[in-house]
Formats: sequence, C-alpha cells, structure tokens
Amino acid sequence: VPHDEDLTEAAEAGISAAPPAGARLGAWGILAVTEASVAVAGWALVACGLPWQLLLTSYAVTNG
Amino acid sequence: MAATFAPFGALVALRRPRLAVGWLFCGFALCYGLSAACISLAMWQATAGGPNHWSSTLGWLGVFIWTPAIAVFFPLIVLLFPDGHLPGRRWRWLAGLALANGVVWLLGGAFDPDAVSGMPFVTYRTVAVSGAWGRLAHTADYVGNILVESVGLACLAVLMWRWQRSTGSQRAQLSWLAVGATIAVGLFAPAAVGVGTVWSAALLVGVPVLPAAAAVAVLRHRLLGIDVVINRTLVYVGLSATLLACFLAVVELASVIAGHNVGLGGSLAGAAVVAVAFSPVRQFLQRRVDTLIFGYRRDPSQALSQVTAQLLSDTDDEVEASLRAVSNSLRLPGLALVSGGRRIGPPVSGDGTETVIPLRYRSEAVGQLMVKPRRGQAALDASDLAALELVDAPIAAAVYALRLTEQLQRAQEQERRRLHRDLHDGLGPY
Repeated sequence: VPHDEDLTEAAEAGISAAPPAGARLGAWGILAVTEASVAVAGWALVACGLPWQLLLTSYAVTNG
Repeated sequence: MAATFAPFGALVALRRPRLAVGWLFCGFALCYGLSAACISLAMWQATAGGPNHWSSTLGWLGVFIWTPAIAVFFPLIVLLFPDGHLPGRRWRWLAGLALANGVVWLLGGAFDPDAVSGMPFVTYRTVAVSGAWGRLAHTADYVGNILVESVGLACLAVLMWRWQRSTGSQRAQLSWLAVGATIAVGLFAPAAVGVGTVWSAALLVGVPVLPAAAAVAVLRHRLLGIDVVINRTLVYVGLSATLLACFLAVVELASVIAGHNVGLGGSLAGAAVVAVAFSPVRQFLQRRVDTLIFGYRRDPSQALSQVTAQLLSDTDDEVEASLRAVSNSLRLPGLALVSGGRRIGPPVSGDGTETVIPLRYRSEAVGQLMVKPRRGQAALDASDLAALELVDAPIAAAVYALRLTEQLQRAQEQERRRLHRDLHDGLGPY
C-alpha cells in the first residue's frame, strides 16, 4: 500500500494512476502497432531463409 | 530500437500523459518499427517470388520512413527531457530547426532517385521524380543527412549545459539519462561501425538501456542515488560480458573437441556453465564493485584494521591519520572530526545531508564525526552507519587518550611552574 506521502509526491510529479481514455488508447495503439511491426519483421526475416549472420547486421534487425 | 523503445515510451505516456517525452519515445519507436516491417517484407517478397512492385514499394517506404525518428523525435527527446519543457526560450530555434530538417529529410529521402540504388529488392520506381525535382530531392536528402548530425550534437550539448546548471531531482534525472546514454552508446557503437556478426548482435543489448534509464528517471519521483545505478550497471555489464564469454568459450571448446559444429548440444553445455557460474560470478563482481565505489563498507573489519594500523603506527598525529584511513577505506572524502572546539580533517563539502556521529568513550562525549555522503549519494545509508559505528570506537579512544595526554602535559607544565615559583620565591624569571 503506497504511503500518503508517496501519493502526494506522485501527484506533484504529474504521475497519473488512471490516464485519460485518449492517452490510454494512443499509447496502447502505438505500442501494439510497433510491436506488431517488429513481429512481422521477425517473421519475414526468418521466412527469407537468408543466413542469420547476414540478417543480424541488417537494418531491418537493428531498426526492429 | 522499436521493440525496446515502444514499451518504455508507452509506459511513460500512460503514467504521465501530459509529458511530451513519452509520446516522443513512442513516435521514435513507431518510425523504426514500420521501417523494419517494410524492409523485411520487401526482402521476403523479393526472395519468395523475386523483386516486384510490392517489394519495391515496401523497400522504398522502409528507407525513409524511419528518418523522423532521428531527425525530429531524438533531438526533441534530448531537448525536452526530463520535464517536457525547453531549457529556455533561447533554444526554440533548435527545436524548430529539428522539425524543419525532419520534413526536408523525409521528403528528400522519399523522392531522391538515388536513395534506393543499393537495394536489390527495389526494381520498380514507385514514385519517379527526375530532372530538376530529382536533383532538388537529392540535395534535400544530402542536406538533411548532414544537418541531422549537427542538430543531434547541438541538442546533446544543450543537454550537458542543462545538466551542469541543474540541481536536486532534475540533476538526478539527467544523471540517469547520461548514464543510460553512455552505456547504450558504449555498447552499441562497435555494432554500428561493423564488427563481427554475433558480437554486434550481442551488443544490441545496449540499446534498451537508454529508454529504460529515461523511463526510470521520469517515473521514479524518488530516485535512487546515481551511485546505486552505477554500482548495478557495473555489476550487470560485467556479469553479462563474463557469462557471454563463458558461453562462447564452452561452445567453441565443444566444437573443437568434437571436430565439428556441435549445434544444440554445445549451446546446452554453454547454458549449463552459465547457469552454474551465474551466482558466484555475480557475488564476486558485486564485492569488487562495492569495494571500488563504497570501500570496505560491507566488510568493515578491513576498515577497522586500517584504522588500528594507523593508531599503532609511530606517528605524531595518529588521530588525523586514522581519520584518513577511515576516509580512504570507506571512500568518504567528506569526513572530519570536531573535538574540544578543534576541527581535524578536510572541510566537509558536497550536496548530500551531513551526518553527525557522536564519539563517546566510557560514556563521556569526546567529540563528533561530521560525515558527508559520497558524491551522488543523498545521505549515508545503514551499511555506512554500521561501518562507521565499528570504526568510531578506536577513534574515540584515541581522541580520549590524546585529550588525557594534553591534560597531563598541561598539569605537568602547571606543576613545573609551581615548583619554579616555590624555588625562586616568585622573584626570578620562569
């Protein structure tokens, strides 16, 4: 259970326990799209059948 | 980049939705994620059915869609960290330049006829621009490429300037970012310049350190001291490097013994060695790093023996020497002693809270130890106090002995003067 002082400091710092619906949707949406892109990239790279040594240093892997 | 920046960005955006930094991290990750997906799908399409219109379009998108990440989002993260505000109105031009350069570089990268020249899976021109417009796009791509480095360096310089002027919690937040950035760059730089494949992949572990440090700095309103961060970082970087070296050595050794690539068996043997070695290696590294940063705090008997050695040595100022021994053995530069109105030791300076430890000998107060915490530490913790409690007893005894010696010398001097007065009847010179 957080101490009252912790809650006060958190409020002062602007840390929100329940973010607005728009922010929640936006953050989860960006996270989902980004991670889905990374998953698609990983699948596509494996499906390429190229040597993994070559793939490891590709832009697709570092960007992902 | 995308896989690690996105969770930390989303976490900050969810917890502090009004703070721009979290959203900038999200944008940074999204650009890189889309770019990775486009390039990978283009490669897959090209290898599965040969380069075609789809692979060309995806490859074309992939080569420029990531540019806002480092042209816009990265400079703004650096400029707006940690409170979401610029360090001053004078830096608005830099933020504006980053935005303008982001647009120029994005358009230049999208329409530059040479941008996709090195990509075998791009065989069709999705957007064909030639002539004067093509040259203009090529120039924009070139200028954007050059300018992004200058803007990035300028933003880092502003961050350093901000750190230098900051105090209190903002300084702690910026210190977290600085440590995270240093580790990330230190681990990732060899991969960026192109070393071996396995090694460069292993070094990618450095990338998540930066967003992780930024997220912790923003979300933890009661920051741990930066000394704790450095301590943990040194331990876990050393641990990761040692265990990775063990793993690779075992796999290589197994391959040499077997005479061929042992594959899964070698990896399992390496993993077993890593599992067995993990705990002892971690404890060993933790002890070494603790000694490096905190001295013999975890083993105060070592500090005590150094203090005792100074007290037993044939020196005239044994109290001052023993204070130096405590200071060196516990890595506490701000340590001084006040006794009988006299001060022994260097001036106590620093940002942290000063701790006053009373020195007592046989229930008699003989002085006070004034101790400032180490640089970056807010206050001494329980381990420090326990170690100081152990070493302050011989120091108190030494101070008491010194006080007795001085009292004895004063009494002897008074007695000598009394005898002198008696013998000379107060007539002669002393």
